[in-house]
Amino acid sequence: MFQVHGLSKTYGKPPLVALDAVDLTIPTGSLFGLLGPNGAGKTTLLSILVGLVGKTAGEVHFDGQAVAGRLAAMRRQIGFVPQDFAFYPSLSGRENLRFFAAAAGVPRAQRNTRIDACAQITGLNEHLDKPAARYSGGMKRRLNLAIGLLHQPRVLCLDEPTVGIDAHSRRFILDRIVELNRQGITVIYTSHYLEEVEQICDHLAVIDGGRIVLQGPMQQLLQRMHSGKLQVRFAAAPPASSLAQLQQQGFVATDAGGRNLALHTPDAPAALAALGSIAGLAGLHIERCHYGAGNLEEAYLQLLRGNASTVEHE
Amino acid sequence: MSKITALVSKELRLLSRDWQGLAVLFILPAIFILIMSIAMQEAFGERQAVRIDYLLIVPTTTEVSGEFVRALREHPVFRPQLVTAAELPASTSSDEQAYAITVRLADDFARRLPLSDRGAGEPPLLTVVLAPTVKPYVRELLYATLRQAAVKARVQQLFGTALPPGMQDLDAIGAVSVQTRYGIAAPGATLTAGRPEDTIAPPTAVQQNVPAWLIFAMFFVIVPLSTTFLSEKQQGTFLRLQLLNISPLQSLLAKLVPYYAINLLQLLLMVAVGRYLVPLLGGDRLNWPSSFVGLFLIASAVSFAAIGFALLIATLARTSTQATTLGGVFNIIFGAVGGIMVPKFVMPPVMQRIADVSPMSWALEGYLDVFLRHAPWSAVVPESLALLGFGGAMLLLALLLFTRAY
Ligand SMILES: Nc1ncnc2c1ncn2[C@@H]1O[C@H](COP(=O)(O)OP(=O)(O)O)[C@@H](O)[C@H]1O
Ligand SMILES: [Mg+2]
Repeated sequence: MFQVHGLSKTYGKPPLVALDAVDLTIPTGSLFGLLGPNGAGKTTLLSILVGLVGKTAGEVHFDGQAVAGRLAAMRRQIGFVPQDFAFYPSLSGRENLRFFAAAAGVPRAQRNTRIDACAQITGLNEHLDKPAARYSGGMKRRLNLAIGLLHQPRVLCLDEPTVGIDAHSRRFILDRIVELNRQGITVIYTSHYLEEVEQICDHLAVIDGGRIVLQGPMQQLLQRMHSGKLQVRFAAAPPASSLAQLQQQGFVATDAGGRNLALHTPDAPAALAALGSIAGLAGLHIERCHYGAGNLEEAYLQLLRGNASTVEHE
Repeated sequence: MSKITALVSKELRLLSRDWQGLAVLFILPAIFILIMSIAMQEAFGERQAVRIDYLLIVPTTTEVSGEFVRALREHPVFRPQLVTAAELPASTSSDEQAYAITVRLADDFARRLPLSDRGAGEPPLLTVVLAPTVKPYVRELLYATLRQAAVKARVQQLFGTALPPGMQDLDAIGAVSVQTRYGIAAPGATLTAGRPEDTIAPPTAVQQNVPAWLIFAMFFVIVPLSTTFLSEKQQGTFLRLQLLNISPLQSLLAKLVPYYAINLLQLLLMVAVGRYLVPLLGGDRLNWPSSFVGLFLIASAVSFAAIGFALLIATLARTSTQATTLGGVFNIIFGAVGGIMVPKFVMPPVMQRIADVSPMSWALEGYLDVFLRHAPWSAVVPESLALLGFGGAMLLLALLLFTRAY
């Protein structure tokens, strides 16, 4: 859908490099996660893709063609959901949807159907006649999303669509996004929450300091980063004898008291069996046990740390 | 087209929810008009209230001097207190000191007035004695009044009839060549024989205050306009609109329509306040304008200038507080300089000229053309063009800035 080559962006004077020679491919039909900390350049990248911000250098292709000269046509296929609540707080949800539908050029006859459909998708039907200012944070996020869907875009660009909302609303929005993607909409999803991206995206790019430090299909990346770490936390520090047994199995205490332990192993079942028997014999209560998923986070943090140090040394 | 319609109706909807903004636009000026029109009624000197008594010493009442005295008595400001020379000795000292102005007719006034040729060494027809406190412009006006009365008396004598009303006015204008646009000339000002519109008296309190506060309020569209504009700018709605292929020009133009409608509504309301509410509370009633077309023209031009200015400030500002502060300060300066808060006719000539830099002053002149000077609609064209030019320049600048930042 989008191919980006050598894309750079510098802001103002003194020049601030927001994007540094970014190469990126966003496959059609993917649910593409763009992950990076605040200030990494996610919004800048997204804005350049849709032509809201000019680039300093590089190329952007949409559907295999350069964007220049067919910006308007491209934009008609894009639904954009900005990081901020880009709607009118004093208008009701319905009034907002009505206005943006008309502004998007949705034919009058179809407007109400589209508004209902988008309200349905985002679960706002019952709240449409309240002023948007009185919406909860989650409802505002959903309205922001609904507006982006009005003109039935082929591509949905979401800039941190779950910032500042409760777990329930977040879950709801993530589920909707996955659903929309299943229906064939290409989704570009930026976030600084690792779990979200890991949960829903099938492609991932990690951006930091304006550079792409990692990208590829999620499955591959997970496998690559799968360092096979098992983490355990006991309700109370285990007795010395049990601790010795665990250490024999290769567990390493990650805190002073030995409540938290970790083990690097490719063989999770064997490690779990050993852990189970030792804990069972000594009557130890396992508070938490974690294998696998957390690794992406660690790898991500490591990536960021590594990148920061390279930046520092330059 | 449907996009523009959507933008306009959105703007109207936003406005209808903005109670504070609407209060600023409608209630505030109405209150100002009421208070100022009533409070300043005296200060504005309703012309019949200004009255200068003077002592007029006449020899006897004959045909001609009778006509002369009658003419003097018609004057709205200078009121003669008649004494015959015969009565005088009894009251000389007290009376002559009580009046700052004494006019004494020569004993043979009646005989000599009609004669056109007068010898060089001849004694004066009348003598004017003035106290040192009499201001030069009052003196000049008095002389003019006396000359005017003399002309009337002579004409009456020659033709045996009074001039028809129309001609009397013409004559008066010719003779009383001491009035400027705002009435009494300041001392030292050049005295020009004016066109009829120039000899019109200063506005009454209601004639000044209705247009003045209307203009002020029209410029205050900056408050609601910049509030929505800045939130659109900050919250990314403009980004969204841009992605929906709506150009900056469309975004800006869509703001013109609703605020123009607001401005016209303000016009209706403020005229109604001047016409119906002010008299209820004891003030003067605002007269209808001499030309409704002219009123509409000037109001439209003021509106365009005000909206253009508001849009420029809104594009310049980073926050809506900044916009309302900046806009408010500019409006107050425009108003203070431009004769909104202090009427121009009480300003010294230098300030009157400085006032002309303020678009609010052009606006006020335009309104006064139709409310005060009974001018036809064409009289407001120069002011309207100036305002349209100002608004156009502001709008262009705003568009340039906005396109760069959009
Ligand atoms: N309009 C701008 N002018 C100047 N600097 C900007 C502008 N927008 C973003 N930046 C800078 O560019 C960098 C990347 O910002 P951004 O793309 O917003 O990051 P993210 O969305 O990942 O948080 C940041 O250092 C930010 O301060
Ligand atoms: Mg961002």
